[in-house]
Amino acid sequence: MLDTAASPAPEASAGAARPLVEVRGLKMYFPIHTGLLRRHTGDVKAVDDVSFDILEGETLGLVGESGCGKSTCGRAVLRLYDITAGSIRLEGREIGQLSQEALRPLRPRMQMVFQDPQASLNPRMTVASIIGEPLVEHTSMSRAERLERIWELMDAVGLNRDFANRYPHEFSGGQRQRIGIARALALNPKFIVCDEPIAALDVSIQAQVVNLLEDLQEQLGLTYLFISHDLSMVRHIADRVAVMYLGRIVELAPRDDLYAEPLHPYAKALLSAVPEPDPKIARAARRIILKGDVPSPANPPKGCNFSTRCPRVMEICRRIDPALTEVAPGRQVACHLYTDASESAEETAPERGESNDTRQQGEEE
Amino acid sequence: MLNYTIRRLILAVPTLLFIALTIFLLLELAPGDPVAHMPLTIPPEVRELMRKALGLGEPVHIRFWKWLVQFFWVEPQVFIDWLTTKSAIAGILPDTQFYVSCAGGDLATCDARILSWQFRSPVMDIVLQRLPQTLWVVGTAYLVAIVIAIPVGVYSAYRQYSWFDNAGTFITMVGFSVPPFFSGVLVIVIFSVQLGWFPSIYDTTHRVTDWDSFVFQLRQMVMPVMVLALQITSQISRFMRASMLDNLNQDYVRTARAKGMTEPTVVLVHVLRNSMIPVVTVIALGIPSIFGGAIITEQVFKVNGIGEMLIKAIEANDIPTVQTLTFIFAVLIVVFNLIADLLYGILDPRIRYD
Repeated sequence: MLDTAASPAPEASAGAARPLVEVRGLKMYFPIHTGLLRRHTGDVKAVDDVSFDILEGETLGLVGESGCGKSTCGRAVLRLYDITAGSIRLEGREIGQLSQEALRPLRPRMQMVFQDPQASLNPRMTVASIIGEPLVEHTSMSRAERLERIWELMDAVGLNRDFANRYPHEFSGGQRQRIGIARALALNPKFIVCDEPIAALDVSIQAQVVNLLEDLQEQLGLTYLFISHDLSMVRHIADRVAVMYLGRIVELAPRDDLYAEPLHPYAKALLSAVPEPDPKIARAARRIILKGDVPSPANPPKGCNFSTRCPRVMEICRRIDPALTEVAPGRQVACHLYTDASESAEETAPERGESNDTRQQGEEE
Repeated sequence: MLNYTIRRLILAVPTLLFIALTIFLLLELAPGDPVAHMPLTIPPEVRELMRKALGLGEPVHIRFWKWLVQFFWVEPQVFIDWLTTKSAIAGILPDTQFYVSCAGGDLATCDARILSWQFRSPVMDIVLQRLPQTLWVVGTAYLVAIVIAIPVGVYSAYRQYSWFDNAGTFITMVGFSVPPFFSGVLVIVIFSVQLGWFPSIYDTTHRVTDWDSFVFQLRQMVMPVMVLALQITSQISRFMRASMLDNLNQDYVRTARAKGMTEPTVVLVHVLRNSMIPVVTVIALGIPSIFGGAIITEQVFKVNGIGEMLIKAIEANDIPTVQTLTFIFAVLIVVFNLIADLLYGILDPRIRYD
């Protein structure tokens, strides 16, 4: 079923692209211990049964509000956490349950650019040693070769070579993020998770960094999972976009389709919040304002996670959790509004993982 | 960095002068009489003469000035002379002819020095006699404590809330709260009285000449060193653990893991090197206490080091000794504060002094 050769891509533009990363039923729960004996009394369901593919060479945007689990999802995909359940395949190889030690040789293939460029760089290491450290660990380059590679990477991200012996605190935010990108690129990865790489930068620098990421993607054939809450930036960079709410993906669609006509009520509300630069259109636009607060991920509502705030909530939403289903070519939505009522009534919660797989098969055929 | 050091050293001069004045005035205000422990049969007028002979007849500011001259002018000269003739390090240098043994005869130089009222001998000579004992016992305890505390702190933090961490936290809490006059006596009762493994009294006249005497030296050092090390270990391992915990959750640690570094590299290179910054300064700030001795522990095990010297001088109202010792501690604290600050600048590239 997951045989890549037999699966034509859902996206026409991607042509012969095959999934580089396949995530199935990913769950990342953080245990809650309470009481005198610190017994395990519950879980924060940061990522709760998420499935998606990332095609080779594409950028998958992952959007959602703060605390919806997007960063956790990105880290879990790279196995920076020991995941609770699920399967993650990178280039066809299962990495979901590998030990951290077994993962280490695979780390060069997948890298991460972190949100806070200040905190993610070791303050006691120079730029050269930050970028060069993975080369020491994973390659047998000589000192001179390594320095050559460090300079090459610094050139690639637009940093002056003379800065190689400086410390991270001596740089501006944008330069630090370039160091972070150079570091991620050091071992020629295929797949990079960008965890809000521009959130800590000011607007003029954001565009530079995003353009740098796009250029590098073009030159090196990189695949990105681009996590952001900046919907306009995601529209700019992503090929497909996944919208997350409370640990679930509620809608996964090609970028243009999603921005033209979001299907899920949450995606609609989220996209209505994007500021419109044209005042005429802005005046005509109707913002959908959601009532209430996001429920706690430790105690999500029964049925659909969004049922407590959904403006179009139905009776079935409070009972049965809708599965992510393909409603149009390449478009997947988890909402009862778009699925046949009788069909979704048959699906019960424990079977959800299975039904996802069936859906995936259907999509691939 | 050099400018900063010079500026700090210049600033240290008024600081130390103020400390010296404060100590002097505090001792002046404190009740007590240096001839109080003399036999009651001595008539009051003779007592008064004895006080005058100790230099107590003069006004406060004159006595303070005399002490300053003695400490900052006479003693350094004598010390340099001692270094160039008697010491192993600088004995090859030309003799400066200042140091005269007070037992030998030339009382003129000898009288100019700071004299202890108890012993009628220069305070600094006694300090130099007492210092080796203190450095051996307290210094070894400090080294042992650091060697134990750092791995314990690192592992406790790495496995936070594990049984090891919980046990370590409990033991360090006990070690930090139990005073040495209790733990010292306790180990004497257990290991000397009941088991008879170690001598209860530290013999300072013992000379290490061969293997057997070396073993004896080790045996008599075990208990005082361990009692002191328990306290210091508790303190440093807590610092180490807290500092490691601060750093273990930092983003750069996640970066290091994402780079595919081995776990020992992540913990020992990335986290430990950053966590050592505050710990090293704490260790540096604790070094004056090695010289200061451990007053109570030295008393319990009868180690006649600096701490014991200070407490005896306080009991005997030996004001010049108390004044001089306290001031030496103050100098050491000021100096090691500066060293700690400079270490911070060396270890942490984000901090630069200029």
